[in-house]
Amino acid sequence: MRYHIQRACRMRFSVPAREHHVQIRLAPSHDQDQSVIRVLLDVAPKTHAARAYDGFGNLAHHFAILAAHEELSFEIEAEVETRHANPFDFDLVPSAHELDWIAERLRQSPRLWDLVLHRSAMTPELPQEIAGQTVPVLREGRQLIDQVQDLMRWMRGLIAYRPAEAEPALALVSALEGGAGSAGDLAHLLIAVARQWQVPARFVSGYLDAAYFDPDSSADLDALPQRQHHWAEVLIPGSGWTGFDPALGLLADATYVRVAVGRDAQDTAAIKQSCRGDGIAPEVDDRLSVSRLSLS
Amino acid sequence: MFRQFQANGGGQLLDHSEGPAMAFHEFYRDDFRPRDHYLAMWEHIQGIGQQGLARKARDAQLALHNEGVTFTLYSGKDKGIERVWPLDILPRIIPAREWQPIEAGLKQRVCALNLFLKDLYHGQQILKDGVVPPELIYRGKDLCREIMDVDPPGDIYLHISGVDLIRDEDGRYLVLEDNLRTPSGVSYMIENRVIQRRLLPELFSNYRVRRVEHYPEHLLQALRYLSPRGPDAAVVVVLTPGLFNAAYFEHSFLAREMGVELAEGRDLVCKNDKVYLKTTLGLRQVDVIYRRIDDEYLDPLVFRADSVLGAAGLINAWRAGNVALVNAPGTGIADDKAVYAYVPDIIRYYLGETPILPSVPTYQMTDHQDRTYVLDNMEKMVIKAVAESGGYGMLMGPDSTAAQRDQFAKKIVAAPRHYIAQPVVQISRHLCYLDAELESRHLDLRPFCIYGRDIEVVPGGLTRVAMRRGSLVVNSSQGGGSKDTWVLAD
Repeated sequence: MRYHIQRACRMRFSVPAREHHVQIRLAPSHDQDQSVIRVLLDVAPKTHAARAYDGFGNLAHHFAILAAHEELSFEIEAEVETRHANPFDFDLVPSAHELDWIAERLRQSPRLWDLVLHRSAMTPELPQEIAGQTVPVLREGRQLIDQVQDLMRWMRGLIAYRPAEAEPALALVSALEGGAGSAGDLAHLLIAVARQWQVPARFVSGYLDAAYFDPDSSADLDALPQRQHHWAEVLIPGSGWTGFDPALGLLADATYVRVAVGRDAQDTAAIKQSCRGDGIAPEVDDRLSVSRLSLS
Repeated sequence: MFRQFQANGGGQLLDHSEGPAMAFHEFYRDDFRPRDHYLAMWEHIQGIGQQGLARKARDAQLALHNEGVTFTLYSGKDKGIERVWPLDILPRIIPAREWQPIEAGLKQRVCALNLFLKDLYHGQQILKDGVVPPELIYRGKDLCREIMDVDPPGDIYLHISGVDLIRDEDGRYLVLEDNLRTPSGVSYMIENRVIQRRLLPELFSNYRVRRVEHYPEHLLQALRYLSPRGPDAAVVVVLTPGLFNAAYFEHSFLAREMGVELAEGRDLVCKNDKVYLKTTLGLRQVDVIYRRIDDEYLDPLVFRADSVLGAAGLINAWRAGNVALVNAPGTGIADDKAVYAYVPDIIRYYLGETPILPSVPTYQMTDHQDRTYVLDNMEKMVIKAVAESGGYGMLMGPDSTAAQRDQFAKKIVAAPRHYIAQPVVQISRHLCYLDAELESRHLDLRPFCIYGRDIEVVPGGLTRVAMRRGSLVVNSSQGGGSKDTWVLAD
């Protein structure tokens, strides 16, 4: 599918800011599942924007306004083609050999260990039970892809998806205690369980087809302004990185546009900035539009 | 045991040292005669006598005070107080035949560790080949994901290093730990020499002592070598956290001696992937930053967002190849104390050579068998937190109480990757002149290496002395003292 993505952000400071540095991860990634056709970035006041890849291979743009300014705005416009039509379309590795398959991938790509071992407040070590429910353990004889889907179902009884929450909590425990959370919180929980299973899992930030936000569509969502979405990817034997969206209970397909991946939401932060000023956070107006241009 | 010195016009000199059994004594042979290379010094201090030595010790303190050579204690009742640098006036002497393997061993070690860092932040072949366990690296606190696949100028990460050496019961030099982030102490090494030369000029003339005072000149040369705009056009700055840092004296000393600007984060600004120094004449592009701030404070866009010590955009400028950072970010993983145990394998893997300098045997707390052994024998062990330095987060088994051991045992069980253990090594002793008496104290040695066009080891280093009798803790930040270190020419 081909999508047009437009993200516009305007910041207004109460007292002029200076030496303002901004780093954004908003452009779709160019990888085996999707091709970026074009990306345009426009910044006002005018300045030079540069691009670089971070330690997880994510594309980040950065720019700086050194002079004092009360307002800064930028707009990123991208066209991307996604190809991952059917996440179930792959040759299964027999379940008895799935862990060997993962062990071999870990041997060939030691960087994957980060996505097994990393623990943080967002993806903590989990107890055996949460809210009286036993945390699923990896079972023999059942395909990993099925077990992750079972996990998504289990999770829905634990954290209800709250679409109004845009960003994940700094600590997963607050979503667990509250019984509700953002898409990012659900992704973090899925990742934390997968890592307990010693299976590589990573956090993804990206965009979702506008149809998911259409009240007339089949997805069970209220009409909401579009915003960045978050889900998880698990390394599935035979398939590779496979997207699981516990918020919607779906596997990611070509309607999901990947922007950045990391150990947790900290690694994929969409906007990071630093400036000299009065220390008061600016007023931010952030708009996103994702439109489907074609089905092929 | 007391040994009486010949006193010459100034009262008696009494040596209150205990016998040289157990720990190797660098000054005395087993028969209490000074070792050959100390004979001239022995005769000289006898000639000076008690009163003369006391006067020289006072002069040394006065000179250090006048020169403003200070450091800050980080613990104890004097925590946070700036103190005059403690220098023992009796130097440590290392003959050329002893120094040669140290120099070769340090070059070998630094070379291998630099290759290790390059590999870790690129292809990770050493992990794929199973020489170092990937879990050990990825559980380490100091692996810097943000610099993966970045090529630092000249492929050098470890421009400046200080490797702590000790001597075991047989007098063998062993590596105790590597300091590969922003090791300090070099200014004290130089000040010690300047003052020592002034205090004991006649003794100096009896020995052919190799110079250490040229260190800033060689450092500047190595820093210029890294400049993306070429050595001749290089603008170099020393980046300091500021006046309240314990090592501020050293930062200002090195900037002054090299003739470069001493900058704080607020003096730098990044624009279009270049770093500039704010000057009264406008912005001036910076090519090389000798930074004395930790990785996590370098750039608020990449590391700690609340840091005001670094400069936003620094890492992007470095990644773009427009500025050299010295040391490169991410070197901390190579001096992680759990990685230390693998350094001999790292040397063999990259260089195909046998390690010249041996290491202290190390128990990994992630290994069940090692952990069980250590937990059963804590009173014989030194237990260290892997990501701490300066003697912090450490349990000295023989000096510990049952309650302290119990507390450490719990910490180890809760987070085994955070700790390692080593058997207590009776580190060597040396004669010191302390409070108008001759006493023996334990000591170590931190030589400094500079990696520019080649790897250079400064002939000397900072000898750190445990000031308390019997103590094995030599860290300056915990009240240790120092000695000038004389490496002799052939």
